[in-house]
Amino acid sequence: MGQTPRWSRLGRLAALAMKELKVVLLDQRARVTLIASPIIQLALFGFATTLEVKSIELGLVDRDGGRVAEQLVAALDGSPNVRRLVLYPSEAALGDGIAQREIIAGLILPQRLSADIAAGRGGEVQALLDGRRSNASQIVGGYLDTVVTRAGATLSSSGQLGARAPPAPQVLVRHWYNPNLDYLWFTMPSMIAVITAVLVLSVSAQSVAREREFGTYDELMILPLHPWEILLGKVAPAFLAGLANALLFVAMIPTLYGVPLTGSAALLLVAIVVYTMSLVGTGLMISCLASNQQQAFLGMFFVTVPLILLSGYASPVDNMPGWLQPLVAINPSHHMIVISEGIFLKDLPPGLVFGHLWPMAAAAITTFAAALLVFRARRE
Amino acid sequence: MRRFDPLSGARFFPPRGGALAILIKEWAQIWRDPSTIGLVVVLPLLLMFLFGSAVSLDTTATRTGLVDRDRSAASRDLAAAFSQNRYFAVTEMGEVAPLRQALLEDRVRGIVVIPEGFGAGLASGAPRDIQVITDGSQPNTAAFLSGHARGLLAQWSAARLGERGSDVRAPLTLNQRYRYNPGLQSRYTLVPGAIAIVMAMIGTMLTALIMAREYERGTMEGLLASPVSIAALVAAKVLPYFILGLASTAVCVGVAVFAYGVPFQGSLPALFLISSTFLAAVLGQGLLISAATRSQFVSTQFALLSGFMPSLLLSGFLFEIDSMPLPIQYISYIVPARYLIPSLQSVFLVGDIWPMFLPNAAIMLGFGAFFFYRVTRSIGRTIA
Repeated sequence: MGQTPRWSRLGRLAALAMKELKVVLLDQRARVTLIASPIIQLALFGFATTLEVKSIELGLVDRDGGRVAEQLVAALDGSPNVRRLVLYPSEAALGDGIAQREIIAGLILPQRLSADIAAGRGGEVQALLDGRRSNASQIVGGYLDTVVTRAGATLSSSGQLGARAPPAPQVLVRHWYNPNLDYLWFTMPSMIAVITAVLVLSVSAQSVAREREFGTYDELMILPLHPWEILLGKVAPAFLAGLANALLFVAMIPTLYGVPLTGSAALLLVAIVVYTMSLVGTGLMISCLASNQQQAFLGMFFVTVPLILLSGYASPVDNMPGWLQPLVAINPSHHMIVISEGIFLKDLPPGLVFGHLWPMAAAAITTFAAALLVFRARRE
Repeated sequence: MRRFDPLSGARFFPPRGGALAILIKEWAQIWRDPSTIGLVVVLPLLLMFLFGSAVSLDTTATRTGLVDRDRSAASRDLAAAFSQNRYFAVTEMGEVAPLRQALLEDRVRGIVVIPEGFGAGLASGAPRDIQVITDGSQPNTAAFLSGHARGLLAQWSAARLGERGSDVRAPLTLNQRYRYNPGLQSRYTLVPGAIAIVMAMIGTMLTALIMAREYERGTMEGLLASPVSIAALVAAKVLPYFILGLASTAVCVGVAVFAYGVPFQGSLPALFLISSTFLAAVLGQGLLISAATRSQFVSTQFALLSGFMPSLLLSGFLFEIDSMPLPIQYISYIVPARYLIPSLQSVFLVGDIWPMFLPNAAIMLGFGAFFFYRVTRSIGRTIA
């Protein structure tokens, strides 16, 4: 073995990688899943990921029958946020409407409300919101608060209340990096990390486990290559598929979705390569531990879900409890999302990118070394 | 007495008991793989724990930088109001520049700037506005931060004027009550949703492998040669997974109620109805993938893409379906989890709402029936 010229070893490694690539791409459906599905996912799930609340359905119970209702209906009906405004005869009917999810929230106007406001006593409108949809109804609550306060100001502008109050200071808000708080600007860069993770982990987790299930593991071992070279060859398809898709996303996101790429594309590519390697290492480790494809698949799932949920994509990392933060710190997907958001939106300087690059590199080396250890230990 | 060995039992079944024999064989095959325990017990625990603890939409204290350029009594009072507010974790600095860097590095999510002349402006009746800068790369946090800042300033101004004796009650105020979840804990919403994800996972993913495995190992012909009708064969293969699915659901419900204290207002029959119809739909979906692709590798890819990801993202679990673009809303109608999650959230937080459960259960059952029909067709075609 020791005498083998270097070039021929490299040639063998390349041959193994080519063979693996052919095995995966031979199946037409596999080609479709590897190439078409990430693009479909980007379109589908990218648009689906929104914490905005639009086109809401609201209810109204009007016990007052005066000008307040007119004012509120006019304000709500004209709003692009409201898709439908349903009038209910009673509070109980409104409650049923919320229970059956016909509406997300309802307003209840008490008796003599208009009269109270006209007389300058001020009034209170009740809002009933669906706590099952906690995030959405909080946003709706904030929106209704604005509408009701504004309606009150309009009604009483003629006189008694509020007009006497001196002007109050306001808050001028500026959203940096994303002036209109466009949610797509957040989701698209994170989708690079999430879709690549799902793709690369699922492909690489099957690599060695499949050989074991088919009983071709021994044939693999007699290849005139080092174990680490065999593993590198095995994961070539996962690595290339992940890389190809991630690069495609980087091209698609600014052109098709209009998300600005403010930072250095070269730096982003480096990060993607390192990230894909960390995913490949993780998938490989699972694959070496599994004794059949089902176990590999389950192992992959056990890792993918925490990776995605602790990445900051589904919910902000800031909201997670302190004892989970160490797990976040070693999660390659989290670092990739920070880098991706940073380079797309914030023009992140190289120094800061590097701070998130080395944990991914460390994860790549650790997982690959662990995979190698398991692979060697289990070859007898 | 001999120890019961499920496989040896299969030999004694006459041909008419073939479906039972396959059922026993399938059960033994599942039970001998240690990853099954992982699937039925550990995976639900892991997912429930992650969704219960890691996924939180409750923005509590956002790290915020504050610059007071005025340093008057009024501005100090306002800065103190920000520091004491539970939505802000304030770091005060003399300059904006270091905070600008902190915003870039994700160390703060927002900056509040109180301008020079703030106190004087208030006194003279021409108040100067305060400025809030947020990190727009985190839109949800940015929106909450700016909203809370507006609310805080409005309250602070009202309280200040109140001390000076002028009546500034707004003519019309809103009193918000949140039904079913008065404390507005996102956990109460997310934990029942997590149960749906576990069920989708067990349903789609595992059944996605079972037929493909038989085809791949060349044992499918043996099964087809057995004197059992296709429908009975499919039923026998899927029943163990149905039972595993229900067992996992029970584990999840236990965690939700006992570990996370989510109230369970509904009844067990209602829970059983909605979870078993959902399982029928996803088990059928997985089987169809499996029978159609005949390769474990392709099956797993399809199962992830058509089972897990849509259940997570297109079901209304994390993201409001109504807020999505219309074409995506239409696609969500073919995601079975869409019909499960509202019912599951309701059976926990609200109680039994049959007018909501029954149509949803019927739709999920319809999905299941359609998938099983397609599976028997797709297997049946191959023997001819």
